[in-house]
Amino acid sequence: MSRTTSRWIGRIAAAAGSALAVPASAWADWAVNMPRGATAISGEVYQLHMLIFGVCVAIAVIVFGAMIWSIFYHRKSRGVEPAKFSHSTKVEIVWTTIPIVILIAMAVPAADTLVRMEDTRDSDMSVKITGYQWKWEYEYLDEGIRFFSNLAPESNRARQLGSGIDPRSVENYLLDVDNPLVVPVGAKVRLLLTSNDVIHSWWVPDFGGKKDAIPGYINEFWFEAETPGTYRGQCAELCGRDHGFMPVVVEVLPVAEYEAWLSDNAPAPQAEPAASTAAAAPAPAEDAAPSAASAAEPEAGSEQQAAAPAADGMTLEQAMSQGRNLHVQHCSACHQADGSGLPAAGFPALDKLAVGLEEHLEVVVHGRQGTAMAAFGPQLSDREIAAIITYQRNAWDNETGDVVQPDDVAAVR
Amino acid sequence: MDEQPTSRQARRARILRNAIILALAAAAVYGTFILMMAERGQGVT
Amino acid sequence: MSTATHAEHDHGHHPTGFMRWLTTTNHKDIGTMYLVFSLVMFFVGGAMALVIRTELFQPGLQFVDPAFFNQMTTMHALIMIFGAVMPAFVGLANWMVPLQIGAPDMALPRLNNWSFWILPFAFSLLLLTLFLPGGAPASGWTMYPPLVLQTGDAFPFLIFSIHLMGLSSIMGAINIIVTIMNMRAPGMGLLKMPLFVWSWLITAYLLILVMPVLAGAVTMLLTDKYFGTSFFAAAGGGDPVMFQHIFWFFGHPEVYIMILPAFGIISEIIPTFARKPIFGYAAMVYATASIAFLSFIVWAHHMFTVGMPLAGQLFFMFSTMLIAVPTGVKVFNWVATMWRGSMTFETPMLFALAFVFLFTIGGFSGLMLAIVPADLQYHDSYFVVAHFHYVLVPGAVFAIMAGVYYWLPKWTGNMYNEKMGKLHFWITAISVNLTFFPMHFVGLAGMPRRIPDYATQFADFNAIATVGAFVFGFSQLMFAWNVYRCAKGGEKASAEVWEGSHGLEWTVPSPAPLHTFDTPPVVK
Repeated sequence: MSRTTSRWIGRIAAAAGSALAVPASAWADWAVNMPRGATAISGEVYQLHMLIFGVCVAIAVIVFGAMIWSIFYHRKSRGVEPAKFSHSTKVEIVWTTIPIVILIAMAVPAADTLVRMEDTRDSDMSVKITGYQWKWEYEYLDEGIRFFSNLAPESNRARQLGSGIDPRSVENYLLDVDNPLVVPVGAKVRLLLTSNDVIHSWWVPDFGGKKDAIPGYINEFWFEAETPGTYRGQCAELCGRDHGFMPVVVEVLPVAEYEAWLSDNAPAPQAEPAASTAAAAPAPAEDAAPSAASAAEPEAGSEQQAAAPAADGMTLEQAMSQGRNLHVQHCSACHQADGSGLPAAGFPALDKLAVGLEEHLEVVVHGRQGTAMAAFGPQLSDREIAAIITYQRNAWDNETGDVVQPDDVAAVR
Repeated sequence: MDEQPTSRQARRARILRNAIILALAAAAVYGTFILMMAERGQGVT
Repeated sequence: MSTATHAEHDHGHHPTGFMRWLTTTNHKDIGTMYLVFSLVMFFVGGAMALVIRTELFQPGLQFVDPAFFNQMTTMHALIMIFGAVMPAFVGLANWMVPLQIGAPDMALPRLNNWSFWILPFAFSLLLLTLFLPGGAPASGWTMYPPLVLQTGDAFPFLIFSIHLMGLSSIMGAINIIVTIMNMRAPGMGLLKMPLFVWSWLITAYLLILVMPVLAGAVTMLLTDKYFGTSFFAAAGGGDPVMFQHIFWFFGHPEVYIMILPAFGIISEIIPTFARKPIFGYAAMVYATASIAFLSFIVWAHHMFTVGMPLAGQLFFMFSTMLIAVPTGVKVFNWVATMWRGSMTFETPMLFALAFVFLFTIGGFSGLMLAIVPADLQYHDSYFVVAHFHYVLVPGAVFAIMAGVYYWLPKWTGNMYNEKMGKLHFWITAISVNLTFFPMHFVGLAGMPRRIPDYATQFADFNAIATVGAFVFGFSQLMFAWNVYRCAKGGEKASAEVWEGSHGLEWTVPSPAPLHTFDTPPVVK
């Protein structure tokens, strides 16, 4: 049934679009149906979807058939005299009962699949996922790996208002990230979802569904990918300005490759003893966390040494070059790369700073209550925050000459 | 409710009575609801 | 509508011009104001929809900032729901309920005036937020915390305008209930009332029960933001999911508030043009009542992804599927009413038939959405957008248009332009499908809702939807023009207007004089 049905849907699509006279060959790659997906559950969900769709089509054929027949034959222009009947208990009982039977028949397989979807026991590994405005953080609970996953830089450049870059020239436009979640094939991966700010929703269609990431809650979801590959999805719950720009990418690797990835990205053993023990703990202490986080990031080398000796200082030049990258990565979604902000949307400009150094530190570390300004204290290291603030206070029209040191940041935490 | 009062005054009184009851019902829904939530917030229920 | 017709009634001093409309307590005047207001809001909300569709025409951001895009989706929904669809139904109720039950006016005429005149203030407040620093609310019409608490200066305006809209709805609902309960003509028992009156009676009860809940929810948002409470803030021990439960406890009955009166209108129109009484009158009443009852126990099907206990998910899945039964009964009864009738296809009938077809399609996707495992895929995707637009646009809006074409000759005394009406229908019916049908496909393929930009594989269907939206939007100007021309003049209408018309409203002359049924008619 499913094969003929999908062909049928394809035909509807072709009919709907033929008005636009798109060449027939272009229709082949149009996605018009739910993906069958990469897990056993997603396959079941797809089957359920096709089943209920088939039921609806069958009912539609009967009801619309009767209606069209009636519209065609029972019209005044054919000289029909209207009948007088106005009820029939027998018929009414029949068309109340039959739908109930159909619904029960539908509810049974649906409940069956649901029970299996909810069973998160016996997982092989657990990843904690935290939603942020507007990125995901993945934390491998057993391996001590922790990193952020942002929209890929190519997509990010192309998606700016009036960027002039054709999205079609960007590979996987809006569906690509800098650091994907990496998992082994065939493993039951349990996801623990929560959020740092507003509600997000983690959705990969190929894994058969989505689950909300809610502040104060830990939700569970799981998947077991059957074939290696890259699976893409997006945040599905409106979470503010850049809701459309926080994709989810999961890379499913063969077990051996996954092991290699693990050993490449495990928290560096040469880190300070205090930091490494903390990093291994399930809920890392604030200072240790970013060192593990940076391990998976491109600039791992430079930041690795940065995180450990928190005491050493930064020159203006160092801070400016590091701060610019961090500003683009963490701040530019709202305040823009050129610091002009989006005053109309409530995101202040930074290029002509009016805030003093103390307030600046306070706001970046603790956020601003009741606005979209997040607390970056828990997300970034002292050194990273110091670099960002130094950069912002000296870039554009700001010539304050302030050079913030990691110690200054630690002091306001 | 099928039988209607005959005199103009009686009908007027009934209309007002009904309207006041309905308005109180709406206010009661609002009030009990907020109270319930406030108590829940303090861990009463 | 017309001031000249009440010359024979001398009710003393009558203000003229604007003061007449400001101070009127006449149900027909107030009904007209509601309808005109809702038409204006329909165009305002529609303009916002076109901003949305323009940005979505191509992948990439070409026209608006994502923050403004979110403001547009939020305002579009609030304005269409509270400003266009609900006032239109209240306007139709104001006009038609007294005429259909043989009452001289609404039971509480001054309250009636007040409940209308609150609305322009409520929507001015809401629309003004577009010019505030930080812009209009951008958290979606569902106002989920914590996101909604990030709203800037617009926040108190949003809350206050929703309070005003709620107040207006509650007062309107009280008025409708007491009118129906106390003002029926002698002999008109409850089970002799026209189905439009029945559907509004039930809707009005829904309004009284759920609007205070919405008011309570937004009040709590207000205190969370400004008075240090933590109803919904996890950091203070509150519960953000609780808001969703409360909101949808209001929200699901609200959905039926927007569709039950539509059922009533369709149940008036189909018998008229099929020249055959409605099939299963009693079943229609009971079906409406059971839909209203069920609407209170299905709310959490809007939030299957928040992580409810399994038992909760199963309960809400089963109760939601159950709604298909009474809804199915209604559709079957409409088809049975047409069956072996003698049908003609004037504009109201065309809209009513399109309603039955397209609302049923929206009902099917609703049934699919009830299946929890599949819903975890559909949820918050364009499939949902397609679903609720199918029940709201070719559903509620088509029913309103059908009702306006149907009763317009009674209101104005003139026939509307039938040729233009039919043209309006065909363009509207085709473009509405062009707009919303492709959304099923992109939703299933994985496009989330409320995004200003999308991956390139969704581009073609989005382009089609945008073309459809523009055709749909601009073709509504024909509707406005047709109504305006009809109010100004045209071929005179008889009292019956339609060959198959039935009911008390067709016993008064066309146009209906300002005061009707001063002495109650007797219903056999």
